[in-house]
Amino acid sequence: MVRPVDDKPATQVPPLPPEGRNSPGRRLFILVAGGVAGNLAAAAIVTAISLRARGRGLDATLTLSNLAAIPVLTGGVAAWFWRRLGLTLGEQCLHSLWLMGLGLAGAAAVFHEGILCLLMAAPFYWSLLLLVVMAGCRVFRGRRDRLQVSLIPLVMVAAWVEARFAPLPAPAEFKDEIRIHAPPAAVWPHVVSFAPIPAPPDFWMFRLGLPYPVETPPGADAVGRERLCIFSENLVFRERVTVFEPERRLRFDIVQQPAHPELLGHFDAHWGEFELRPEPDGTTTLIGRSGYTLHTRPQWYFALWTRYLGSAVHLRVMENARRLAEAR
Amino acid sequence: MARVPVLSLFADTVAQAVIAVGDPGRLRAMRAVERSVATWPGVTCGFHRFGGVEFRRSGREFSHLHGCGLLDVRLGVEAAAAAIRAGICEPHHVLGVGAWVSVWVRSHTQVPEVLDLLRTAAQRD
Repeated sequence: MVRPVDDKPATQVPPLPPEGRNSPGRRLFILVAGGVAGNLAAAAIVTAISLRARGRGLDATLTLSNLAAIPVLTGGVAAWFWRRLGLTLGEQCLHSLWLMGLGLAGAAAVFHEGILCLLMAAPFYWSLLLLVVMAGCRVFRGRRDRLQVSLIPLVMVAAWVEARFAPLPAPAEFKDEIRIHAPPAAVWPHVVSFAPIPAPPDFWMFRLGLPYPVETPPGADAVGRERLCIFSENLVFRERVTVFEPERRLRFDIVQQPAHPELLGHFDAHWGEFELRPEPDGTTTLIGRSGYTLHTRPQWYFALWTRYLGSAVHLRVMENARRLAEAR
Repeated sequence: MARVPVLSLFADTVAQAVIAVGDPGRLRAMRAVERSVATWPGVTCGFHRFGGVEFRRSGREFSHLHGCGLLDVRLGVEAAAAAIRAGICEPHHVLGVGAWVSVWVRSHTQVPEVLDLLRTAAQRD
């Protein structure tokens, strides 16, 4: 049975719906004004919350309070400006995207956030922003003769509480291991030091600009010796050897890490370790470990990224050791 | 990508942004289709699991519009075959020949014909 969706015969083509009472120019003005106003409002609150959080060792920008406060404010203010535009779902998605882009560009320019850090935060941030824009577009179009109740101010309260009472970040570690078809004696020299790795970076984040390990000069062959790990862009991690057990274990503390925007305030590397485990078949299991503290929130989200990127760093060094050891 | 929540929608929106910059006429046509269908009685809109906007009537999806301008419509096997023969659309870009068809929304001149197709799909029982 055919049930009509409208009262027009199938052969009659209806006129295309007008896009509200606003002219294209006025519509564009409202969209841009809403986006700018939303981002300015968020910037003001971020500054206030960051000043509060910084004294407690939390990252200046990427705290849970900011990740919640920013989309709520940005999206809420923008949605209020856009309330009479009758935005479709597709338009809400698209406008949330450039709204996010504007905010991230501001974070990069004003707060000197690393581009890659912002890239990692983007999907999480955009999804929250979209939710707020969708909710705001509905709520602000609501009837004025009814009491409108919103839970959104509770998010702001939660953001303040989190900045005030959140537990301090805790150290964590991660590890990677590979099997090398060579005995520990062949692997060890290439773990203690290595010449510039000739292979170009193939990991996509390295190609986007994330620093990657290049070389470790010789000389750190005893406990207490200084060790340098030189990354791309001439960034240097200064290390001190704390455990030196030839062909078994090398451990070092990181005494100074480079001042790079992708790291500053977000990530502290504390120590690194290589362990060589001989296998019965004459091969070696090379295990790389790193200890760190993450200052960005939500921790569970950025910890995933940290392990992903950290493994890429580990494996670049470990794969180089494998290539050299197996070539003998 | 469909297994990770939001990721397909994010990618689809990025595609839409590329269209907005590179082919604004196409975006206007997509908007016109979306706006029209959203006003039809009984039709609700939501997000498609592979990204894009999904149109439903009586709780059943009858079409979805991806951010790149690709419109997939469920016409039924016979109506789909007839529409393909008439040159209005193509077999579904993934499922091939069957109940679903695909149409690239490219310009405003296509919109009336596309809306006719969608009306046929929405009116199926």
